Amino acid sequence: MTERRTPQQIISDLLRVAITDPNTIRRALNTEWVYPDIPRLIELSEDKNNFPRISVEAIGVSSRGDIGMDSTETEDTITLSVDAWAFQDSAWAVTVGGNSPKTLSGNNLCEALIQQAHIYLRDNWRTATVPYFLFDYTKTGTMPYEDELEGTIKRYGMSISFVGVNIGD
Amino acid sequence: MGRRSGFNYAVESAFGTVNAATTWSWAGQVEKVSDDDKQNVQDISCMDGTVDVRTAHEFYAMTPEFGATVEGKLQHMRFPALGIGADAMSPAGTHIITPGNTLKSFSMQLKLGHTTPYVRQWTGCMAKTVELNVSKGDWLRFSMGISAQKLTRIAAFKSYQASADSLKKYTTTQMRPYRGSDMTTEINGIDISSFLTQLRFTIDNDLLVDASMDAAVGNYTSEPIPQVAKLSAAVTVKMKSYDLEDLFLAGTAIDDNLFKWTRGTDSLSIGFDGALISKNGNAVDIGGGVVIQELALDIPTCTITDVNEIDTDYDTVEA
Repeated sequence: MTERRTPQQIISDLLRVAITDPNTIRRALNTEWVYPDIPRLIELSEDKNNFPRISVEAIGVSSRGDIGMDSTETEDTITLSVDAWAFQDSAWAVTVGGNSPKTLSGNNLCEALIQQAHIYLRDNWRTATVPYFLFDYTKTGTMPYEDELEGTIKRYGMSISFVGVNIGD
Repeated sequence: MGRRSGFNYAVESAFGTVNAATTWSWAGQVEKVSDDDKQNVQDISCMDGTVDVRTAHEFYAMTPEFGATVEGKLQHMRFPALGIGADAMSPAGTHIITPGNTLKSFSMQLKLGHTTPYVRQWTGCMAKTVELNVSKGDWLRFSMGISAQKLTRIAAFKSYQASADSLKKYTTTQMRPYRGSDMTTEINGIDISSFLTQLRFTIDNDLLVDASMDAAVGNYTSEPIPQVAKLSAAVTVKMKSYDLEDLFLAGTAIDDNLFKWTRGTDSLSIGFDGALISKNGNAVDIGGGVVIQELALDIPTCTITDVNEIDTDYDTVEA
C-alpha cells in the first residue's frame, strides 16, 4: 500500500520541481533544497551552500464538519507556513514574474522565492494539488521574521491554506 | 441527532408502491433534508339547522401534501436524474441524460439516529425541481424539491446497497464530489471559466399535484403529472468584456453553451443550444472594484453527460 503523504510533503515536492534552485553550486549537484520542516539552523549554517532553502510547515488543521449524512469523513482546512531562509551575505540570481534575473541576497532573496512559490501555487493548484484532495489554494498572509543567528540568516514567509477531506489521515 | 442522520432512496416499479429491496441506494453526500409536509384542512360548511354549530373544524376533511427538499454534494447523477429523464448510457460509464416526458417515482427514507432510530419514509415521490449549484471555492451541490404521496414513520432504516456500482455507498475518497475549481464554462463558445463566481442550473418540472378522486388512494395526492419543463440557469461572472452584454442586447438564441466539471478521468457536463439571456443585471458601485454581472438564461433543453466508473445504467431498479 502506498504511504499517504502529508500536505507539507506534497507542497514541498511540488515547489522543489516548480522553482529553480538559485544556488547554482547546489543545483549542479542536484541536491534537495525544499523541505517539509523547519531547518536546523545552527548545524546547517556551517555550510553556506545549504542556503537559500524553503521550508513548508503545517501550522494548523481545523474541521468544518461532516462531509455528509452517514459519512465519517470531514471537510478540513489546513494552514501551512511556507518560509524562505537565506544568508544575509550570499547573493544568488532569481527570476520573478517574467522579469530579467536579479541578483539578490538576504530578505530580498527570501521575498523573491516566496513570491515564486505563490505564483506557482496560485496558477497551478487546480491541476497540481487537486489530485491530492487539496482544493482552493489561498494565500492568507505574508510574514517577515526576526533575523536568525545574530542577523546572519534572514527569513520571510507566507501562510497559505487549502481545503480538503480527511486531512492528516 | 443531525450528525447521526442518514438518507436513502429506491425507485418504485409502480407509483406509490414501496420498493421491496432489502438495500436501497446512496444519493450522494446528502447534507440537508427539509420537510415540506402539510395537511390541507377542508372545512365542511353546514346549512343544516339541526346541527347547531358555526365553529370551524367541527366537520372537516384532510387532504395531505407531503414532500421534502434534499440537498447534498454531488458525486454522480443517478439520484438527480430521477427528476430529469432516462439514462441512455453509451458506452458503459458514459451516462447521457436528457429531459424526458415522464419521470420515475421513488421512495425515500430519512433516519434520525438515536438508540432507536426515528425513520421517516416517503412513498410516491417525484421531483418537482432539480437544481445543480456551485460557487467559487465550494462543492457542486444538487438540490431536489420532491413531492410525495404518503409519509409514514417506520421502524427500520434500509441498509445501503453494498455492491451494485450505481447504487452503492461511495466515500468521498472513493468518488469525490465535484468542486467549483473543477469547472469550465462556455457561453456562445466564449470561455468564461476564469470569471465565473456562481452558477445555478435549474429544471422545474412544473408537477401537477392534486388530491386524488380514486377511492383506492383516498385523500392522498394522485400520481403527479409533469407539465412543461422549464430549464434555466443563473450565472454570476466578474465582468471582463461586453461580450455577454452584447449577447443579451442582441436577443437572439445562443448556441455552444457548456457547464463542465472534470475530476481526473471523470466528467460531468451540461451542454445546450438555443439559450436566451432573459436578464442581464449588474450593479456598478464606486466603492467596488470588479463589476459583477448576473445573467439569467432560459434554456430549451439540454444534454447532461456524466462520465464515471459506474458501468450500470442509472435506470436499473433496486432489486
